[in-house]
Amino acid sequence: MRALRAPDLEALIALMRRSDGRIDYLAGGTDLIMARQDNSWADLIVDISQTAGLDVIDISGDMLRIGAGVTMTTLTTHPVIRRTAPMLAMAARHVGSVQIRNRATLGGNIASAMPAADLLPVLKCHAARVEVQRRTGRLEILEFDEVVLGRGQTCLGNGDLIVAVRLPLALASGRISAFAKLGPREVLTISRLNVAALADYDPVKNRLSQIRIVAGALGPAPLRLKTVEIVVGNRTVDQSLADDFLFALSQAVDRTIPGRATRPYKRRAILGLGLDLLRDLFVYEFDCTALPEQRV
Amino acid sequence: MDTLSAPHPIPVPDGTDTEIRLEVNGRKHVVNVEAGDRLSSVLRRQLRLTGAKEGCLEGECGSCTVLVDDMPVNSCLMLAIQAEGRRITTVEGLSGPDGELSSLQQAFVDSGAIQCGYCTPGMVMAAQGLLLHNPNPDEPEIRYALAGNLCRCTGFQTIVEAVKAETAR
Amino acid sequence: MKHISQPHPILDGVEKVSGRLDYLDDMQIGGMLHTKLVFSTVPHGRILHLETEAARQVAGVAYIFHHGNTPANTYNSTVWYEDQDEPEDERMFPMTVRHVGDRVAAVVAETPEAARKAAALIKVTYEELPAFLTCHSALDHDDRPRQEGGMHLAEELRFDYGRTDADFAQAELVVTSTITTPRTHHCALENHACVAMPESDGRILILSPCQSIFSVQMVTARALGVPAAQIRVIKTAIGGSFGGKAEPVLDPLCAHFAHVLQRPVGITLDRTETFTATRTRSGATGRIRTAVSRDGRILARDTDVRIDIGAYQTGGGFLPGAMSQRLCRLYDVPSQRYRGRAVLTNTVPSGAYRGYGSPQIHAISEINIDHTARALGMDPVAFRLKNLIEPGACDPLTGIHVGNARIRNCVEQGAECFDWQARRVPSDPSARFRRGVGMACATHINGCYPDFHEATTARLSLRPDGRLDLTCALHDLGCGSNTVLAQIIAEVLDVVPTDIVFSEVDSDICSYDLGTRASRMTYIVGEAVRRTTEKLKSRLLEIASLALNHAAVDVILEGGMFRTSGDSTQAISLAELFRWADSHGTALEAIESYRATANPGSYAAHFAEVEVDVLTGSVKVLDYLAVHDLGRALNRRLVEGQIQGGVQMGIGYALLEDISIDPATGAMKGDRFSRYHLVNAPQMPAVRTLLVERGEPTGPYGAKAVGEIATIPPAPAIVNAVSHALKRELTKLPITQDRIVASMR
Repeated sequence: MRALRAPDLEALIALMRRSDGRIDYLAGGTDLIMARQDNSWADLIVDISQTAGLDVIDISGDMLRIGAGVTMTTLTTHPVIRRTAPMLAMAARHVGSVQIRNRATLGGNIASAMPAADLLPVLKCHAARVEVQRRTGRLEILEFDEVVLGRGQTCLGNGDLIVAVRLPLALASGRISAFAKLGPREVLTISRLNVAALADYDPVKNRLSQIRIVAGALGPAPLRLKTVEIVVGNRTVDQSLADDFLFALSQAVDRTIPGRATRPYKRRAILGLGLDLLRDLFVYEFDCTALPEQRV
Repeated sequence: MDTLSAPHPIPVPDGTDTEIRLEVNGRKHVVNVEAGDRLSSVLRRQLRLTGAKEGCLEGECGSCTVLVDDMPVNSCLMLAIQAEGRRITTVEGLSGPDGELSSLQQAFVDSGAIQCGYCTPGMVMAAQGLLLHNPNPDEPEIRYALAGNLCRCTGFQTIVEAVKAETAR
Repeated sequence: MKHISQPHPILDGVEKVSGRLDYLDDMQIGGMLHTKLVFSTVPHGRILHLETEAARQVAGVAYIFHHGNTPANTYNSTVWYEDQDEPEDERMFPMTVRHVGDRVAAVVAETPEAARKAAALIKVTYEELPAFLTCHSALDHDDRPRQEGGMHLAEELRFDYGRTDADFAQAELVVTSTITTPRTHHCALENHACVAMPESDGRILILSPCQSIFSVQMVTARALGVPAAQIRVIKTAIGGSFGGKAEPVLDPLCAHFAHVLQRPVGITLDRTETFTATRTRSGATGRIRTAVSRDGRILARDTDVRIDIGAYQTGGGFLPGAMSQRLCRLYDVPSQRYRGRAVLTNTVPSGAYRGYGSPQIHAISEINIDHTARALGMDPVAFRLKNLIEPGACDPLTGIHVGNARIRNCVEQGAECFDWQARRVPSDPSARFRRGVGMACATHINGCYPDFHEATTARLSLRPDGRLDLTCALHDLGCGSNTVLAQIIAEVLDVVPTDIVFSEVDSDICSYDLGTRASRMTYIVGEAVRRTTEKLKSRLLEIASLALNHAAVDVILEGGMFRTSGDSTQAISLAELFRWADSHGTALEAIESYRATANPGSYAAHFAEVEVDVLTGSVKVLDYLAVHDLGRALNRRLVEGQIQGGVQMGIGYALLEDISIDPATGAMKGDRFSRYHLVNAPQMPAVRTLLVERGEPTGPYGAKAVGEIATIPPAPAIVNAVSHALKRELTKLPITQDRIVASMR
């Protein structure tokens, strides 16, 4: 076992092309060091935690590009992220503890591909694309679903590396978003459920045009809830929308995990997350007495 | 550890030991580590800085917290080789040259924030990290910043009071 | 009072906050070998084959220990005095493992890495045996007592006083509740560790973060089959215990390894091993029936509790008795029947854990009290006040007096301070977030009286520098008990607490003491130290009168100086007195043995307000008031620290904590902090404390215990508050999000 540090992306790419053994890319390490605690490290550990080029955050045209090495702390505090992708900042704030957020990275969250990961529903909701540097030297720009395949499963072959994430930005105004999470504790807790929502909303007409909703911890990979999107898209935002939205969320849980022991809990708990999302999206507390509990 | 630069050929693997340079509490050290050694382990066993404890080795208890470039991290979830080129501060680095406590440490003593003491060094470092970035945190901010540090003795109340006392200074 | 009731900071705070205090795993011990244990992966099985050859080949491996090459002496790790007779069913490495996490082998090697690597290469083949993972399945299988050859019933205790059947028959209302409490873990931040080394005289020295050096000595001696005198024990700094380090788990193994290898040997468990291979709090299921009159008087009570003590007897046999005692010291119940059964299962052993049965039995009884009040249509505070005991009451079972029991003051003052009446209103049944308030009472003991061993011996001597040496087997577990003892000495002698030098807690130096358990530190040891100090003071005054050439009655000790009352010019310091006495061949020390004469109750009433999200089942504790009858707070800051920490542990017990044994495999699901959540800082409310200080005549300066009782009422108080918010009766702890949501359907 040997360890090397890559000072910049150019050196890193040169390295991956020339070496042929198994490589462990080590960024924040908050997942990988746990996974390798039985000393099952690859022959070569490449420390990419200080690699220049993996820490970029820039906007070009209608695209926000975030380096895979950007930490959760940076995602929560960086003014560009907070302005253009506030939901990503919000989700990053919900990851682990301050100690974890200071180390854990965007790329690591994707590469670990844990079902309860907090950033993944947000990335999928944003229709993020992922830059994957293949070991062969080719840079591929892949859809989120082409990268995250299931629990702990990605398209990454050994030696491949996530370099950056690209988020398409809304050109028109009226883009709103929200992220809600539920765990046994408020802070430092693994999500039992999380939901991200991204919508185009006209506050003057109080009308929601399109919305994209993605749930985490419901399946092996983040799940887009299209049936819910159809129910609430192109509608006036009122209590009846809220009722239908919550009902549809609960039905989505029933459809997704029909036989699971956690279904009775999650089909109800998602109502709470749904109300939180609505509150954060429309800055309005919808009436709780009209909860469609009986319909669920 | 070797820092790779583009034109160099890949060095042939030559055993397990790697020599690294660490800057800890303002002092420079050269240590031989295995590539997979955790920073907490190297601090404790090689540099004999045992203030940071290894309470869980999964980043849940925070008793191994140290500052890396003034940011609190779990030293159990960082390899020692990753600390090269970074500035590390452990609890031993907070006290003055003659061992006098920092004002934050003194606030912990005075507020009754210490019982068994096992979580204390990590807790102090998390609080120190908070105050370096936010000198006037309110109570929810203090509690949020300490969420990754478990204490089983105090119920956190006196710890929060200690941090508050330091901000009021 | 200059020092009593003063908020002195904890004495070793500076060493702790600077990182300078060495816990066992921080020490560097020359030539020490390192151990990695191999644990059972099956809940019950006979070891057919142990393949150790590959492990033996690993460079640096010194020895591999297992059942085939270690003493087969059986022992019980709870033992704390010389000829204590308890069922002995443990051994270093059993041939038949009884739980997942039972010890199978140990690799001792030059480095931790080599030990780990080799341990992973050991292959174990088991003949799996039927596993009984719950009290229910165990008693179904075999409910004969252990003494009659039964497998599972470790201990059964019954009592019946009054006219239980007649009172139940006459009662206007009988309310039955069945409450279940979880198996939980102490979660001291310091993992279990031990070091042992050979001494030059052939003995074995054990360094142990323990609660009783003499318990370590006795248990180790029995396991090794050597006289206790062959084992020397020194207590090291301890990073929390809460009962978890009361029973020596690693010490016998470590001592044996050091003895065989004639080298220092260390064992440090990791977090998961600490969860799965040490001790836990027993789980209990109690069915309790309370008979009341329409006007709210408790007439009779019938309690049947089954206690899951895990795979080994340990101290689990004491639990039925301990629980029964708490039922008799809180409410005035004219007739009571009780049946408590401690049941062996194929799960991690239980042992001491803050409250020793009290958190379980109080959860059962205090939740039932609320159910009963609700059935009566009475306010829970009013119902309790109608039935709580009065000061001076007598435990109907043992005849022991409860002392100056001020539980009524706790409830009355607490209800007023909490504004109970105004806040006990129904929540809006249509709201998502529903608020509720709840409360619970509790009692706990002060020491082991009337057991014969409830005694201790302290020696206090004047040092040449005028400071004082206290020699006593004091196991400060981190809560500051030494600070309180120093305050007591300082008060008597008018010195400062930092003038007290504590001897090493070493079995070669200290007189016998049974250790820190049973809430006995302040009440028993504190009184012993007070008496010793008074005795030394008399001696010092007597010698000072000779030195000053004055009648003893005229000599006073003030600010560290001896003066004569009439003459201010004549004075000598403590250090000068030492020199005078030394030059006259006179020793300045006092030894005093103190045997307890009473066992009063400590009391508490806790009040909580919660907000429950009826959709997600999340509970927020919004407000918390803890009222304690502790006689007198000798150090208010330390008392509040005990209470706040106890409440944190209790909220976890109510809402989150459960080691959760997998019913299919017997493995522990909550075996690390990411799967066993503790209450962390954002989850913790501010805890208000109100102290009822009415003095306990037999306690030092009127003090009695607070450390254990602080964690007893929180769980029922929280559960009662959630039940109030939801208008439901929640009965299975912890009341997790899922259980709360399930209760809403």
